[in-house]
Amino acid sequence: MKVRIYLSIIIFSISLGLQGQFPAELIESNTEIFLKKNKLKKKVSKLLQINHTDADDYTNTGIYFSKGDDVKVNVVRIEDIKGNVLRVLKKKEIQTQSSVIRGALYSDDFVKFFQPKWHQYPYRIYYEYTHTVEDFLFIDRWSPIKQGDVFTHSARLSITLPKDYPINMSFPDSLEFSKTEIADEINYVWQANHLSPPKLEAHGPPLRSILPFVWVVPEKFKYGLIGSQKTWNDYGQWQYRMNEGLRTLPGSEKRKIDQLVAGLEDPKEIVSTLYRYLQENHRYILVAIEIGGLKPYPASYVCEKRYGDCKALTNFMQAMLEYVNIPSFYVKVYAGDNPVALKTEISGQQFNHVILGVPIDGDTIWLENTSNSNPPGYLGTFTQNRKGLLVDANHSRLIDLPPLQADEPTQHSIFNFKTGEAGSGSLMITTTATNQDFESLNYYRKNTTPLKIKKRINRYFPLKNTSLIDYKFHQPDSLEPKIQLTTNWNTKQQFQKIGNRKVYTPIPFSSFELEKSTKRTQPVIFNYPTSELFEVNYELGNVKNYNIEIPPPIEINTAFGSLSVSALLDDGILKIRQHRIVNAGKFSLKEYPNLYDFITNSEKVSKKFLIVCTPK
Amino acid sequence: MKLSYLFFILLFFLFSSSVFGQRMETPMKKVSIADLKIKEYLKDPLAEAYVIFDTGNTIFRKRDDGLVIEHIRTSKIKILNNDGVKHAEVVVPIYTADKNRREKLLRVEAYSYNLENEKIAMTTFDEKEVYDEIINEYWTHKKFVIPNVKEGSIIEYRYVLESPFFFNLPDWSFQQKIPVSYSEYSVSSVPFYEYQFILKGAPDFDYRDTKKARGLPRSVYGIEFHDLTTVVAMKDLPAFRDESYISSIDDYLVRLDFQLSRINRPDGSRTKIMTNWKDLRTEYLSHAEFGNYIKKSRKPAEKILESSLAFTDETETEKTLKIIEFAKSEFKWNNFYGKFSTQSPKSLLSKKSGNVADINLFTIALLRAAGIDANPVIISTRGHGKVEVSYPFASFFNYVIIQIKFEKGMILTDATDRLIAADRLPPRCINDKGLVINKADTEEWLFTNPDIPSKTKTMIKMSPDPEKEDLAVQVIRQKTEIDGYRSRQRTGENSESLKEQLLENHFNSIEGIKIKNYHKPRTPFVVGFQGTVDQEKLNEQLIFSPFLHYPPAENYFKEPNRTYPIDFLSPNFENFNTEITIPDGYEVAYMPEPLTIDDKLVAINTDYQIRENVITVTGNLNFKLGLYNPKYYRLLKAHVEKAVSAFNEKIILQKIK
Repeated sequence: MKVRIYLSIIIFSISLGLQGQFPAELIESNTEIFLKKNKLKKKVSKLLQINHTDADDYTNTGIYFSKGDDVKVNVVRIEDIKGNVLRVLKKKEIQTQSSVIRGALYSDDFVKFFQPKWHQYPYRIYYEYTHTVEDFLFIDRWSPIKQGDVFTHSARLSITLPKDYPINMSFPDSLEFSKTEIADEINYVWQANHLSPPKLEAHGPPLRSILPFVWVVPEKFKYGLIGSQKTWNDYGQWQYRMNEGLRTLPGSEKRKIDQLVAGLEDPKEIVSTLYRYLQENHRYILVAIEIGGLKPYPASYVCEKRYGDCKALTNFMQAMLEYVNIPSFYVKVYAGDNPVALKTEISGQQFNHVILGVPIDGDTIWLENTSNSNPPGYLGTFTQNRKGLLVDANHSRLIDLPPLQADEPTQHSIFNFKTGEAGSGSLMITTTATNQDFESLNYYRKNTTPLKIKKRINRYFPLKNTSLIDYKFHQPDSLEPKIQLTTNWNTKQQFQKIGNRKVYTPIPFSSFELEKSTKRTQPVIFNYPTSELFEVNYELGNVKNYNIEIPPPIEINTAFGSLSVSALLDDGILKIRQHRIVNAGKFSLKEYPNLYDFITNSEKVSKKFLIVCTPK
Repeated sequence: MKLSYLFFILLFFLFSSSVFGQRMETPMKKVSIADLKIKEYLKDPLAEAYVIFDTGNTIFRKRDDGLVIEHIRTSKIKILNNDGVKHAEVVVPIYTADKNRREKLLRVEAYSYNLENEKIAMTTFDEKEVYDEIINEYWTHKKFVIPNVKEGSIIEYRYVLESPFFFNLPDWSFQQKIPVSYSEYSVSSVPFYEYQFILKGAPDFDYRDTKKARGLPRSVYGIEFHDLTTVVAMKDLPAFRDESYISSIDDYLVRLDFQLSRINRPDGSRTKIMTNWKDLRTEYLSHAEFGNYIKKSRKPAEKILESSLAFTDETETEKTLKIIEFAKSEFKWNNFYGKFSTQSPKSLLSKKSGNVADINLFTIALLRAAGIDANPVIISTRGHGKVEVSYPFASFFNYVIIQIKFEKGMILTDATDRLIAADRLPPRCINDKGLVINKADTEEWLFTNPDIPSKTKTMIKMSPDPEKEDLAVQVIRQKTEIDGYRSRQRTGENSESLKEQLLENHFNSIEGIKIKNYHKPRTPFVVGFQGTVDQEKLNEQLIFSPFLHYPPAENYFKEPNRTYPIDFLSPNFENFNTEITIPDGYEVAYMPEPLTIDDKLVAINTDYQIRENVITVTGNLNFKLGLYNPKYYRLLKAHVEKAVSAFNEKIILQKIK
């Protein structure tokens, strides 16, 4: 017992010691939630301390809500550190603005916004508001930690619900939890004290995955339609019912489809044809109104506008396939390059995107309906290698979406330098790109102007003292997720001059920008593999005039990937072959020092693998 | 090159008409198959889309309660590729002053045209699908998307905007970020309001005509008159594409700005608004939110002087500095620009926070209360366009700073920024010239661009140990003026986070890192530390980059030519001084040649000296001007090319044989 007390004193002291380092501190946060006449009422109060001028922006507070919600900001005041009130904000200082999410044209969401600030530090702001909603899928998604560099002293969530109101919940063990029955209600309480904010790190988990989160969802809900989140099947069925009746195509569209597929018998060819029709004639625009966040616009809307969001375009694609008797599945997914892992133990709305799966001949063709550049069957970095919810009338279920594979290099580039004695001249690079490199280059090719493509190419090849003259893409719009690119450059100083010697080096591999191993606090996640194969050819000219020293080859194989670099002289041409593969995977903190060494050594190869030409 | 030209026309009095060039027909719903088949804009093959025509028509409409401005915008655009599809998303900003005074979007019509089976297919936009995005209490964005738009489409839209703000006749931009084939603006004026306008960025219109309306006269407020319609047009305007190191797109876009100059009331009385700078100064001096705000601030300012500043025997300069420092620490800038105050002095003192005008005008009151000669100076910030001194347009200005006159000399200051010295302006205020608002007979213009160079001095000591993989270095960097200001902003005072940045990018270890003078903007901002970097080695030789990673690694001027001036804000001097201790048993194997370039644009040099066992390397990279004419671009680029090469040269030490 004594040991425990000592331990908690030590931990508390460490916490107190730490808090001084933070520019802002959440002194107290209190959230109370209860049900009243089928409406969910949330009462929130927060006391935040600002220690430094750099932290002023933490007082910028937004209370987000949807049209129809009832939000009342009861008080916002500024206090000194002793609790003396310095100022109370006036009503007109709390503004209501639209809150249109990035990438959307419009959504009927709003934010109550205020930014109380003081000129002397430290100061505190206290605010209190209530937020009442009628239709909801969540009781709350709560974290005791405020985003940013803010230390949390005390945060509490209390939810009071009737005993006969079933819920599902998920929360980490690190939070104190209690459950008390009072008369015909149950009070659930979560409490957290003395928490430092987690740090976002290069190739680390996304913030939402590392913050402690309490998720509480009602088993039964009404959101457009009455539904259940008891199981994934229940939730998928609700989505299925939401989508029902939305796939009716106008006659003119049916005729168009008939023309498009006339003479085609291979279902894969039909899918490709209709997908290409979707890509070439429709575009992504998000307008989310009322329950539009989860209910697609009907297929007829897309036919009329020729635009829609992921749900509308996917539903439209599904409608087209349905018309030609090819079954497909609406699949909900959490999209993003670095996704938040699904909490499989708690079913319900954890998704931000929709794709379509078309099962054909025991295989599935995946369709990303918001992309006008991906070929059919290619999921890409946005949705690969994660779980998705397949929506079905009776058998909705979680499925695994396939990962990207590096069967071929993600970038295979051949650099042919033709330079004179001074290292100036021309360079031609021939590149074949797959996976993430294909996606990016192909997106630019398809959706931007030559000027933007040139900027992208300049970033893609991090070469010094070069200027891009022209570029050409080959085999665009192929059904293969692969693209070829030829670029021509003017070059200067393509070797280092050290005294009277010329030093040639490999081309730098792309940088992962990892933290020093002593600083790392999070595991590393490489969501997809990277494979860079460079063949670099320098015309050296009169090699007889030089003693040329070529280092021995480098061969490294690790659990994280492999590196090989070698060079040879062939008929006056210096040929460097360099290949780095970085495997996809999640690597623990324990593995980090070795991973860090592997990556940094590979990044330093362009400085360490030196081919020295000394005049005779 | 002179960038703007005035067409100072009192529209009401101009009856003569002048016609030159050709006015283009701009009908809606008229699209040909040939237009739809166009794949490229021949005058600009890089364009993602081009404007076929863009017309603005401003008229004064009679409503029950008087006149309103009606602005009709019609635009027709050819989409050439997927990047151009974004032009089908249209945003119309709507301004609301208060419940009774607000702009309204009255009508929207829009169409897209596509070629389907060699026939023109027209799709009509449904006006119900205009969405309101509330930006803040003053601005709402009306947004709509034209349907059925893809590569090759032609889109057109027309909207009608009603405005009660006679002060602000809608401005017109002839040039856009995509090429414009034809742009036309017409305004039908009435006898009650007179405007003057200025064409910026071009010497003249391609077409100009003024005509009196035919037919029966109109009657408003019991006065009969014929509208007088002026039409101006331009054709073949190139796309405006950004270049680096420019002040603002608004300085270079071809556009037309308006300003109300006179109100003629039905009873015959007239109010002259602003026809010259003196009128503007007079109006601002008595403006409730400007000159009168300073007057209203006098009493609370006097109280502050008594209670918080209690001067005894300070000199005028000391008092001034104390007051500016007081204002900077007492009031928090809310990041809003403005030339007019937004709250009462009482509210400012209670909130301790305000916009630029709230803080700077109140600071003027404080200075005046202390007997110091202080005046407001209105300016246009970077990004807001240059002020054209020849033409008295209030809309040029969006910010107010402070002029303080001493017996000898004067300073300009901005009390909203704590990171800049009291007698300096932050970069946002550096944009040519400002107008002093005072009662003097002749107007006084002040240049905001500093002559004082920003200086960065880097001192490095290298102590190589041939037995070690790392090279021990000591680094001290001092930055003054704008460079110091930017480093204070970027680095802050948190040495730990700076250490992390340095470790991530350039150094293997860092010790004893110190940041000095963060809170003393009058003194250089200093960062110092000891650390290690990779010791470059080649066989038995030790290789050194004397200035580490600090010089530019490659030429930042990449384009072959340049259209716009190169704007560095101020002259910029960068100085390096490195000492390398030669380890025992080693000697110099290679020392680069020194470089010297000195002309009216730059002073660039490197030098190498050996004394006993220490090599001293110095380097200076001095840009003598803050603003370079584009004609010097190629020369400047060539100079930088040489500097990059010289500053990255390496020194080699070898074992004594």
